Amino acid sequence: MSGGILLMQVLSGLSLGAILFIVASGMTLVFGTMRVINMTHGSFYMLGAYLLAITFNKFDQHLFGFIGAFLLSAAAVLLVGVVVEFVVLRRLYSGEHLLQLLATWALMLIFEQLTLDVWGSATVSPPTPASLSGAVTLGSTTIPAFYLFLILLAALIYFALWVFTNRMGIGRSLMAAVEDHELLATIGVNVRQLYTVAFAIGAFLAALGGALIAPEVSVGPGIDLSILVESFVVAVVGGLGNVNGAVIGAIIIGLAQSFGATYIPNMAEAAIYFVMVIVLIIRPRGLLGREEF
Amino acid sequence: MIETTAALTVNGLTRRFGAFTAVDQVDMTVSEGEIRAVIGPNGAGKTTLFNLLTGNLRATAGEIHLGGNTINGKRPHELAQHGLTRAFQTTNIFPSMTVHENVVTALLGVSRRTLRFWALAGERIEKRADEVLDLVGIYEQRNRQAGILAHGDQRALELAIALAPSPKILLLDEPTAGMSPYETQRSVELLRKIWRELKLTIILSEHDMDVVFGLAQQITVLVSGRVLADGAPTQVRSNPEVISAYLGGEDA
Amino acid sequence: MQPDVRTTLVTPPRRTRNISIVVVAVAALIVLALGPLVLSASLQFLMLTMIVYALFAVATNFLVGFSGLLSFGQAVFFGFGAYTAALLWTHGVPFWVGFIAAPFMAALVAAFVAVVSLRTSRLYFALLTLGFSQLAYEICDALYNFTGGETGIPGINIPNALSGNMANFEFVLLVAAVAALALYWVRRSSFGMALQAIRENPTRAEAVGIHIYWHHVLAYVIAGLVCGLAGVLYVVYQQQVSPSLLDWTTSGEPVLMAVLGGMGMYLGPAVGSFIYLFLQNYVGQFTVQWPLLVGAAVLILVIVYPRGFVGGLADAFGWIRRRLGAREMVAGEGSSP
Repeated sequence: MSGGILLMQVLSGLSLGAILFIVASGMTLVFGTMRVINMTHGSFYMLGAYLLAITFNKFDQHLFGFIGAFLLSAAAVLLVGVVVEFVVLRRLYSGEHLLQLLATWALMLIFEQLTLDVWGSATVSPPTPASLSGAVTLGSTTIPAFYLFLILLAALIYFALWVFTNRMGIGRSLMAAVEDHELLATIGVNVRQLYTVAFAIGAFLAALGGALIAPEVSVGPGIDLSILVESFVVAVVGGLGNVNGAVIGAIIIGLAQSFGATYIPNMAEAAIYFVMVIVLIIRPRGLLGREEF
Repeated sequence: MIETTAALTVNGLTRRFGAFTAVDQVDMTVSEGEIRAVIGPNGAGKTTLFNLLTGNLRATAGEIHLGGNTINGKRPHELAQHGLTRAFQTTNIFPSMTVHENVVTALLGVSRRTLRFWALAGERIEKRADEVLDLVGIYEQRNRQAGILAHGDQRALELAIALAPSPKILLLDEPTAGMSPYETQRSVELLRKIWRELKLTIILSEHDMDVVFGLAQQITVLVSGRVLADGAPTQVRSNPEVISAYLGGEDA
Repeated sequence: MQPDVRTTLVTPPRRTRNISIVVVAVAALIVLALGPLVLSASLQFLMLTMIVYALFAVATNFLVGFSGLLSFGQAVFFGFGAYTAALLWTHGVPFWVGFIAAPFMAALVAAFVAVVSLRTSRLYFALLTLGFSQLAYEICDALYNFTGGETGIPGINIPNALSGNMANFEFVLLVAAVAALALYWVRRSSFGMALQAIRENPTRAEAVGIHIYWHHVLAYVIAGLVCGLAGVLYVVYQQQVSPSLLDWTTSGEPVLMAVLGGMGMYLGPAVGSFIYLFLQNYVGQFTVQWPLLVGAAVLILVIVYPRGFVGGLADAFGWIRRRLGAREMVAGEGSSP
């Protein structure tokens, strides 16, 4: 195997990992803060992808149009997330985890059917913005510019999350919630508001992931479930509730997918679950996971 | 060795939470068959000490000996099988089971019969449960759902659960917390009766000084995680350090 | 002191001997057994589906409702039981060998999943079961030479003695009923009491000497065994298998049936299975919006009335009984319950 192909594989894995990180970091944040397994996360991703497909056609195939379109899509889904939190989840925080799980699962069914009703069962593929559809030459290898764009953007989002959780008041409260759930109400934090913020950010990140990947895949029914389970795997491998864990988990799973597709095409889909099982046998709470969860 | 065998010995027991030391170099020897009270102001480390003894927390340093065995790092379920059980400070029962089933479960647990998925509890255990319920005085309630009992009866059930496995050592975390004076008096009488009949070693933590001086034969005073004094009630009562640090400050 | 709201939500007080429930269950069984005499072939088929899913749902609820273990991956064992039986039978293994071996294979897989994923907390566990169910699906898909991939395995032969309409129906019903009864026995055993104790108050359960981890592992294995058996029964009446058995939605269905019927009652999930499949068959015919309806129904149920259908019936009876009791008290004859 030549070095060029290897580089290509690694970068393709990292770009997959970039999307996984964006989506899974949202899920892990929601879980860490609220202790809710959000099955609707995949639906938010799917909505983001569909909304991008629609809005992008309204813009030129220009980079700024693309950025505008995906921000717009993600913002719209953020609002959906807020509504879901207000109307459904708020009523269930005091109840059993099972009820929360079932409620978000029911919402997932609803969103899936609504998407099917509105956009049909055919897949849509928004074009890659012109300025990102080219390739970059690195030594003897040419790499799709879009890969680099995704990796760069994921790094940017990681940085933004870091600033948010370390430098901003509400972000710090979120981290405090992840650290010690019980303590939170006693130190005078508005927990309800915090939950809404966490859920909104989660929805936003999921939709952002969906919107970003849309030009690369065909957007159709069923993408909600596959990303949901994949981001579960990423979060579990990295350690639930841990953003740094999501980075590591996303890189590992992204690489496993990219190399799996080449060397064990038969088993490529199963590869990531094997990785999950192996990690869990060695570290039951994931690579960076903590005792309490 | 001849008369007073140590039931429980604690050497240099320490527990830190980050920079905070909740239990600090505690030494304590509890003789077989005695009632030992651990007292101290709020935050003195009584509950942490109890959690260390029952295996709900791990010690940072120090040793705990039960009979001849070192029990450091053992989990609560293992300690129950070594003859050390506990009644919790807040009522800690199985609310949707009946009173009788609560005690049966405790008996099954400690006799390691709970993995028998083919066997019912059996008559012997059912009868033993009834005896324990009779002992703590709530036999008439045996078929009621535990969650709907009156507070005092729930406390009695809590005691029954802890007593069911015939422990050698019984830990009581604030047994009269939240009780009316009448209920308190009743439960002191009950504890004395149980102690006399079952010849147990009892370690209790308590705020109510009437209860402490009415029951305990030995008292350990804990302040800021350290043992301030240790001895018979009369000694402790007249210890000037204890008076200034604790007893003096709390005139009820 | 208030009883713990969360636990009373799912579990009504246990009554040691409740003859009326036994009578209702036996009567229902007799009515079901008469099915083949009166029902058309298609209705008989629907009824068989209901019975098999009822067992599947009852076994799943043994974990989710009774033990408090949120397993969202029970399809793994249902599908594994079905596929193992199908593969054994198509490769010439005698019927009874396959019939017995397949559920135990499912239990073996359950043991592995449990040992690995129960080392963490409850929520983590829920995610892991989901991951394992997806793994099973992908493996089945990848081994298409062996499992038939997306088409599955059609045309599985079962012994002539069992392939007649009547015999087939009664056999499936009998096995399901015996299995449900056995699981009920387990629930009432020492082990069952310990499981209930762990769910209601894990700290207390540990303090009386119950080792939570191994109890949960065993519960998971037993549920896996029964789910596997349900899978084998599926093959007995369907005589085909397809990967949708391992699908993630197949894992969700028994949980949904349990909630619909009532998780607090042993046979609640069975009732839920009948209601769900009945509606799916009749309402599902008229609309393509079935998933939307299911989602909306679950949402309403979860928010408004999480005790489910049988829980609702029990509440209604309790209410009537209390009213009657109150009247007796007024008459001066009643004693406190």
